[in-house]
Amino acid sequence: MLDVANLEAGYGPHLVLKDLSMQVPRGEIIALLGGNGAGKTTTLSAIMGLIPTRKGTVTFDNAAIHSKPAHRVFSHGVALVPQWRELFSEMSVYEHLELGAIQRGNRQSLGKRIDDVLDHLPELRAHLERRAGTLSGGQQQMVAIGRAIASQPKLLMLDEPSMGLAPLIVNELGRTIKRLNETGTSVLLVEQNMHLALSVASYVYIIRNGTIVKHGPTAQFHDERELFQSYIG
Amino acid sequence: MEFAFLLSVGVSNGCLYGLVGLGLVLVYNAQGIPNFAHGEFFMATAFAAYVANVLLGIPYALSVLIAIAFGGALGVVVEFLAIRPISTNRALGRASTEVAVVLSTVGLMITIKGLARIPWGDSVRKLPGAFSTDTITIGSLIISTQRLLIIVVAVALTVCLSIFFARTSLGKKMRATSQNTTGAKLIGINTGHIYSATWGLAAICGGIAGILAAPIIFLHPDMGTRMLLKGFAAACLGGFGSVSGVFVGGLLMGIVEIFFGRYLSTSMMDIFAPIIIIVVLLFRPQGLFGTRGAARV
Repeated sequence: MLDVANLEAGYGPHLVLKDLSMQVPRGEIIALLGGNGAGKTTTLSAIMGLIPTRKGTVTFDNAAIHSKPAHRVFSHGVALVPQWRELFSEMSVYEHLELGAIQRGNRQSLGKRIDDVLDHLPELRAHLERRAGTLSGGQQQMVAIGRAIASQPKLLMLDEPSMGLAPLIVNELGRTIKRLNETGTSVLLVEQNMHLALSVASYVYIIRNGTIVKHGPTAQFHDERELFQSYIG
Repeated sequence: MEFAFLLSVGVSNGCLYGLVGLGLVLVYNAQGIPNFAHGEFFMATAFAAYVANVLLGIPYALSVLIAIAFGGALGVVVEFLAIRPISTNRALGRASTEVAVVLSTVGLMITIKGLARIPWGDSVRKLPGAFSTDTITIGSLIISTQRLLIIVVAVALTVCLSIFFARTSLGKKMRATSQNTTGAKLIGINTGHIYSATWGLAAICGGIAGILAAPIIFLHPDMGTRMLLKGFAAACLGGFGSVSGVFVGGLLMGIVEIFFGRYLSTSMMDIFAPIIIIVVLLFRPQGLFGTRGAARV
């Protein structure tokens, strides 16, 4: 489904990703783990078209997307829940879901798709009219996920969704990711929370200094100490 | 009697300031920059109506529509040719980009005004009003029909824009892009198109104000500069956050300005706008209806 090959990307003169290759097969949950500054967020930004790529290719469902801007990548069925959520602080929760849904699919199914989102994230039902800027961190994370899945993406990318959330909410987040995957959405999960990543992912990539240093089925990484050592180097 | 007359003049002037301020606010909210070329949309659209109606003899209503379309297209073209290449230049840092874009609008202001002087020179021209009757009498109050039209159009446009931003898909996308550009890109919004639409809409607001004002203040290549200052004052006073806030800010500006001019000194009318800008920025930078430092989430 998603195939990243020999990718190079960065900011200005600073090259962050170097010869990075990875795949996300259809229907799978793939985790990308790494320490601070390893290049996790840059990887997602490059795939999404938020930053330009310098070398390599990114193909999604056999279509090259590495030279396309974010709104075009989104139209292929790729959605990103960014680390800093990037919500519209003065707009209501409902408007977030509506805007997420409106860009893909037809208008007739808008209400149904928003209902589907609320079935996945029922805690949002009580806050539909509230402005995003007034919500707690956990609620904002749910809005960011809801906005992304309202477009019914084929691939959902989540950038450290557990950051700053209470353990109970992180557990609920893990269940939500699994439920989404069960409905056919492939997931690329970037995390520092190994418990969350290993509890949902079927395959793990370890990134260090902008390149993949280790990868394999999740079962290979059950020894968390070894995992931790491998990705902080 | 004099009070009512002054009030009607103040309200109609205030409506014009509100319309001009509205265009400034749209661009500011979308891209975070003050558009110093906005007064030239006011001027160029008014001249377009003059060309269509007076020089080409096209009926007034059709001339107005042609001029509004011209103003909107001018806004889109300016954004595409002079703003976007700078704002999307990755070689510049964020702060440098904003400064460069602001300077670009200053350059545009000078350029458009200079281009207007080539055919029009420094002489003053007059665009006829929308009605053949100059005044109407309401009770004991005699009011200019053009000023009444200004009030009606400004109120209607403000209401329409409020509905547009609250209810329509494009309006919501514009709000989303103005609040978080990255967030907008992530849900498939082509922010380049949104910026074009925003500049077009802003130019239309300024242009409608120009067409409405032209029969009262006369046509001249410099007519936009003075109005730009008044529009900035209206936007500062109302707050850059809300459509209705800017409109109310414009109204307050117009009313207070006319009474200060009448009862203190007419020279007060010209210095009132810069005084408002300085006082508001010093003591209430978010304006009367804006919110201070809305959080980015």
